[in-house]
Formats: sequence, C-alpha cells, structure tokens
Amino acid sequence: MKHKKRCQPPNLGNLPAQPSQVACIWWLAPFLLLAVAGCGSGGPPRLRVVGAVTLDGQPLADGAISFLPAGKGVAAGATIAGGRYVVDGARGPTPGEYRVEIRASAPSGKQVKDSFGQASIAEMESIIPTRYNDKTTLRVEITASGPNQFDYSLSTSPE
Amino acid sequence: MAFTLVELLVVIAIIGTLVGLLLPAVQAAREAARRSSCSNNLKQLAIAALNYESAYRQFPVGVYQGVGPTGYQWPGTANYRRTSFCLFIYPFIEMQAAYDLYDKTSQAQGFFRGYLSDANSIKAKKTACSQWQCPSDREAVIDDSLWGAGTGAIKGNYGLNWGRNTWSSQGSASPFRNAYGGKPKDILDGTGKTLMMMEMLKPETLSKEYRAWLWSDECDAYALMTRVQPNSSDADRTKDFCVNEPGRLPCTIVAAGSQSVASRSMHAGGVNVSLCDGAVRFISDTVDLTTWQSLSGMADGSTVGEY
Repeated sequence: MKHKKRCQPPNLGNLPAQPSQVACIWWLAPFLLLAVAGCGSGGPPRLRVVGAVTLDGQPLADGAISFLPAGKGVAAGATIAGGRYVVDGARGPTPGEYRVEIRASAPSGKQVKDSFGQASIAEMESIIPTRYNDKTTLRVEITASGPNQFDYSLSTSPE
Repeated sequence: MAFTLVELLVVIAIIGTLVGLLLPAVQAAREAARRSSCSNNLKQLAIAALNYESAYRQFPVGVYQGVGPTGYQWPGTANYRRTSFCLFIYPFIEMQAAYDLYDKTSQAQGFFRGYLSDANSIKAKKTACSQWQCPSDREAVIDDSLWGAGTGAIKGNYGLNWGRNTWSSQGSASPFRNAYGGKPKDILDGTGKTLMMMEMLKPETLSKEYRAWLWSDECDAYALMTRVQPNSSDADRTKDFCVNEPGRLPCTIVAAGSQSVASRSMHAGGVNVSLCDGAVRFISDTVDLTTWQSLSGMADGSTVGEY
C-alpha cells in the first residue's frame, strides 16, 4: 500500500523530490507490455523448416526446394546452398501435408544464342530427375510441434 | 522551484517512451500512404486496360514473342516485332509521346534489331513512367547489364496475370498470354472474379535479371503466376540467370519454358491486385491457394468464395 500511495500519476512540478519517485516509472510498464503484446497475428502458425539435400551422395551445391500444399496450407520454400536449406519461419508453411519438389540446374555444356540472337550463353538443364520435382512423390507432414527437419538423399540413377 | 535530477529523468523517460510509441506509428502511416499510392497506380493501369478494351474489344495482348518469322507482324505492314505489353497501354496512360517514339515500322532483322539499336525506341523504353512504379519498392534504375551500355529500359512494379503454373503451361487459361489478350466474353468466370494485374518487385538492378522488366518479352519479365501465394518464400523460377535475394526476391534457375514468377510486394502481409472489372483488392500472403489460383483462371468454372 505504501508503494501504491507514492506511485501517483506524475504531477511533477508540485511534488517534492523524493528518491523513491523513480519507482513511479513502473506505472508505464503495463502500457509498454500492451504495446509489445498487441502485435500478435491470428491464423495458424508459420513454421521454420530445415534440412540437408544430397545428390548421388554429394551435397547439392545450388538449387531450390518447394513445399506446396497438398490440401490447405501456405506454399513455402528456400534455395539450397552447400547442401543445406532453411525455410524462414516468418514465411514458412502452416501445419499440414505438403508436396516437396527439389530443383537444380547446371550448364548442359552447349552454348546457345540468347533470345535476342545476340550473345552466346550456356544452356541450362535440370540435373534432378523429374520424380523429385515435376512428378514428385515426396510428401511431408509439417507439424506445429516440430522439429520439421527433412533430409533428402537424391539419386540420378533410375529406381 | 527548480526541477531535480530525478524529476528530469522521469520526464525524459516518459517522453522517450511516448516517442518510442509514436515512431513506429509514423512509419506505419508513411507506408500506408505509399501503399495507397501504389494501389492507385494499379487502378490507373486497370482503367487504361479497360479503355483499351473499349477501343479494340479485347485486352492488350500479354506479349508478342516469336510470332511470325521473327516476331509479331504489325498490322498493315510487313514488319515483325517482338513487343511487350506495356507499349499498348501507353497511349491510355498519357504516355503518347513515348508510344510515338517507339519505332513500330522498322524491319527487324533477326530478333529485335530495333529493340537494341534504334535510338528512338530506346528513348521510349527509358522514359520514366510513374504509373508503373510502386513507391513502397526501391527506385527504378535503368538496367544496362544485359546487352551493354545504352540498351537498358525501365523496370516496373505491376505484372500480368499469366495463370497458375508456368509461362508455357498456364494450368488454366488466364486473360493474358503470348499473342493473346482476353475478350470479356472469354472471361467466363466473370471479370470481377478474374485477376488482371498483380504487384511485383524490382530486383537489384545492376546485375543480369529479367524480373520486373516491363519492356522485355522474356517469359520471366512480367508474367506472374499464382503457383504459390503472394510473397512466398518459395523461389521464383527464372531462365539463364537471376540474383537470389532471400526474403525478398528468391530465385532459382530452371530450363527455358518452365519459368514461374510469383507476385511480390514490400507491403506487410500481402499484395495489391486488380481484377478484370477494374477493381483493386489487397490479397493476403496466406490466402487459400485454391482461391488464389481460381482467381487467375478466367474460365476454370470455379466459384471463388470470400478472400
């Protein structure tokens, strides 16, 4: 009670200065809390997804992984660098079932004209079999409880 | 009586807190103003496309690419040109001067001779077009990196509804594709239930990039897909090259034909879109994917619920 009595809204000009007035700053605390807590958003949580991808045993140097909703959900993905990927939690998928597509391409070795017919550029071709992307059978269940780590060992040899 | 040190500290703390509360609000108000200006531009472009429709009984074609021996044959001439969407809109957004500058008659040899070397056409392509710029995004810079100094053109923030899958395989017909601009009678789902244009982001402009390039007929320039939700972390699929900007403009390189670029913006939580009846809506990043894709199809027979 003693504390409460001292902690009145500040009419600073009139009050005699007391060291204990510092405590009065604390009446601001609930407002600060409200300001911070007021920013939550509705809807299902968006989740971070991580994992490693290898192609024929080697870490996939450069590519992309997609998580596309099989039912309800928010599509998400990430680029793969050095065999690893991280889907940012702020733009991650919501819980549910997802199709997974993994893509990567590399120069085919052929030089082709660019579409203006001006310069020669390296033609790019996919190095990942279609069973991992266009005709994917990979499925995952993203859960709110996690850990949502999915590692893939891809093989170019036909199954 | 003078203030004591403690009193001053308390006052400073209170003022500090209030300013701390105020600053984000001011920033939010500034972004709200930019977003409003951005959606106004989209509205202007939608009205321009509808005015074009009034004049020609169809929407402007998405792009003329690879039509005829070397490009689009301009009506009444023997000339073939590859031509981007924005040119057709220019007379309807008070850009007649730039439209007139663009050489529509010179005989293109090979691909796009005039596109690269004709001085007037290049001037037209460099003309600033404020209606195509969203103030929330970075400034438009003339990008000369692709075909050398002098060949650059402006980039912009509004692209076309190109379907739900990839450039060459739309998934379901949309009002725009190569050598095709929809007629209202083709838009069976209803003009108010079919997307016309969407927002896109300009990439870092000093590196080789097709995205957001208004004057390009490349498949990844301004053809936008509803394959994934707006602002998705899923990488855009582009051809030949791209600059990966995770969190903003992620991308990966794919073989030609399967390009797929998503709608993106700098607004918190979604993108502005226009519909074929001229309405402008704000679509959330977490819009139901089926709904989002139904909006892109013009005759997929799907009914679009609340969104």
